[in-house]
Amino acid sequence: MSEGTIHLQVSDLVAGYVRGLPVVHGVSVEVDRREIVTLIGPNGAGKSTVLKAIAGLVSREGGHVRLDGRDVTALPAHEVVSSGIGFVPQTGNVFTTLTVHENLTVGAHVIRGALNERLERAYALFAPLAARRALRARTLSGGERQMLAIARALMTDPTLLMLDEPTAGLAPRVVEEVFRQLRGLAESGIAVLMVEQNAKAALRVSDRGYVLTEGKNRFAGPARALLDEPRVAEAFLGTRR
Amino acid sequence: MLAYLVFFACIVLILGILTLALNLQWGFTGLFNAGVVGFYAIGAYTHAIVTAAPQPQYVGNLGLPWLVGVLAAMAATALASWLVGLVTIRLRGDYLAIATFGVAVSIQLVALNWEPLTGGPQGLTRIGRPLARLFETPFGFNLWFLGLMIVLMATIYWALDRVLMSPWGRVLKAIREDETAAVALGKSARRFRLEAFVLGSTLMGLAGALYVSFIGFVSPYDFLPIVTFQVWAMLIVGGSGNNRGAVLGALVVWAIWAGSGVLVTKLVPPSHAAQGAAIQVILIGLLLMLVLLFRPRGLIGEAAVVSRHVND
Amino acid sequence: MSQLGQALADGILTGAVVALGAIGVTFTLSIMRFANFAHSELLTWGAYIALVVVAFAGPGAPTGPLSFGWQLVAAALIAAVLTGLAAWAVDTLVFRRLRRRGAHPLTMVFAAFGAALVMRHLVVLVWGHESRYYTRELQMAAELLPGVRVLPDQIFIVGLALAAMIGLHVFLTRSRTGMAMRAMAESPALAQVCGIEVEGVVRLTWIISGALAAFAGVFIGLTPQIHPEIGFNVLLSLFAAAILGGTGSLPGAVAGGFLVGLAENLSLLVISPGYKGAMPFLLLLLILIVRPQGIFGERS
Repeated sequence: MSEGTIHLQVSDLVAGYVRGLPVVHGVSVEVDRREIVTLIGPNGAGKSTVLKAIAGLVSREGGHVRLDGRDVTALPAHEVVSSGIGFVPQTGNVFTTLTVHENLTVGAHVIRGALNERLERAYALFAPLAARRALRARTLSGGERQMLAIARALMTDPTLLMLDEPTAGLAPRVVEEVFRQLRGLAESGIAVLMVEQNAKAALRVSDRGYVLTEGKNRFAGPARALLDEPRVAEAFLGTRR
Repeated sequence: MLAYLVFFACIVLILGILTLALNLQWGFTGLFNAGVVGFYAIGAYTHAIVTAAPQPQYVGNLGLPWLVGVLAAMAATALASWLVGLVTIRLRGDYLAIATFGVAVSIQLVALNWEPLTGGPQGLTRIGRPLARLFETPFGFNLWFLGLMIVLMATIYWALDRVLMSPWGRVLKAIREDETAAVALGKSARRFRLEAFVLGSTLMGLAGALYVSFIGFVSPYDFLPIVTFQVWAMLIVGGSGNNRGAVLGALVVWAIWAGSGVLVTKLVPPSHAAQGAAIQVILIGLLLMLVLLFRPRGLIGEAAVVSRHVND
Repeated sequence: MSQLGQALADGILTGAVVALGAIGVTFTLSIMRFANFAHSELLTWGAYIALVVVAFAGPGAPTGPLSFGWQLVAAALIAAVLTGLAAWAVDTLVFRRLRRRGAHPLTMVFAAFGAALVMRHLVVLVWGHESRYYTRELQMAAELLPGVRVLPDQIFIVGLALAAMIGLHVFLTRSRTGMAMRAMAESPALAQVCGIEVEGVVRLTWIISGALAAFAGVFIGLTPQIHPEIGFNVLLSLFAAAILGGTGSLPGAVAGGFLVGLAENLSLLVISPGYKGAMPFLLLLLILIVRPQGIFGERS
């Protein structure tokens, strides 16, 4: 591990769902350990695509993604988690036909050997999951599913945690709880990168933010500054799902 | 030799209509109809039942004129395909394939079992043929039929071209190329697909009626799943999404099929006829897989479909 | 009443065999996302491979009330291994190439049609159309209930089929590889995010599907004969069972298999046997109209 390199460095990323039709046109983002960075912007700005590109789920046609100095741009999707990146997609982020316990076990697929310690840690962090460990994920409430999705991503002890709209469709109290958990995770040393439509709330809990429009960087800076910046406020912060 | 060529040409033109119909469903609408032979059979049997000379043991055999039989065949197939389509069009592609395959299997079973109507395993004979009484020799009739088929094929080809260039046809193409446009159109997209499905199936029924009026009898063993496979092979080899390709594919594949059949009978002793036939099928199966693997566009297929947004 | 009992007994036997075949279909539908029309030919190949083994080693002297000895069971196991490998080989030669190219799923269905024809007619080429038998031993039917007759072989088959299904269930729910398979069956994208490699799961799926299909083929061959169409004859039943139960679900495929088997045999009580083959199709239409995701399936 090299001291002094920002943990995640995305430079001039070009990516899209169909080869030859990029949605992200040269986006640059940085996230360091112990900080929460949020990507905000209007619908269709390509925010989710940036995360999916880092995760290897969409085609990357240009630019670089470096994790701790190591180039991970061209990694196939199933190798991304081994490099230390945990990803919580927006939809389809838990296996509904598997139990809570199985979801977590599958989440640790790349970890050889006993999982008991990791499982106990997950259950300690998310108490409601412990109570429901033998139940199918399908039966969980929205908030519990989100918890499971995050717990699942944490099973491999990622150094970078990416979340795509983690609070979508959740009640305000649960939103608070999720953000509180993320704050705790960041404090424990993880780099957290999230995309959020709930821009105000997300910026309030973040250290820094990037505003993306039409697949490009528009604004960037400390979260507080973005919250106070009138141009950002009038264009984007008013937007709610 | 000439007689054989005339016969061959008639069959190719009938199969060509089937392939054009399938092209409408698959190439232009993106519907995987794995039950082509089923609609072909409905057309064939309807025509047979309507026009065959009356006999006491059969419920049908109405003895009506040839043209009535053809129109009845198209109507019956249109109705059947509309019902099938209502249930299956909204299914995902491979489920549609399974469902239509099941339709064809069921229809063949009905043809095989419902003897009072379909004649069961023996089928029906003395089926209405166009102007049959005017011709004394089979060759004469076949020649006339060939002429009729050429005119029909030309008409259908031209008509399909016009339809596909009409506003209706352009919407259809848009739906095929751009799934999001289809989703935005919602229910209407399904209606267009259903209409294309019914239109294509009706043509298949027409082909069925033409087939049995050509050979003069109908038998359930002419409507086995292999026929569906042959028509698909024709479309894929010729190039889907392209009407010229469809007709060309029909010619090429049928020529290979008939040719390999002749070769097999020459080279394989009659005692092993079944094995010889197996070789023929294996060759076609391999041909198909090779085309799919190495030249998926077919002989004159259109360029790969690109989303409309590429020019935005 | 006894007719009903007999139909139920026959239905359970048919159901067990269809369930074994449907398990493979349900996983190819959910993991590889295409309707593998060549799956039924794996049953045929399994039956014939076992036939080859039996031709060398013999089916074994009848053990107890059964018409065969342990040699046939060994032949079935060998057939299962070889058919599993054959399934993987067909994937490597044909389907994987198409998958790599990002081929349309329907192209794969079509290639499967072609593969099915080749597989089936290779069998005809080598063995012809005549029916063959593992053993010429006659069996005494046992009368389980008044009017309900089953052959001891049939009871053995149902028992073995259930054992295979339970074994697979344990594998899928207790082992991490099995869970990975189920995860991939539900969501390939999320599975990859968890680090599961698609090709590894695909390979395993083919091998398991092929092995189960081989068992099903041997069972059909045992009750009562082997011929090149045995796989094709149950193709529609396999698909109906898999979709009825909900794709990607082992309990679904099993439930679907038994339901299809029972429906086919119970329908014989009211309709002519010639139409038996249409029953799975009717069930399929019914489930697609009423509950398209199947009994155990999730609404997507």
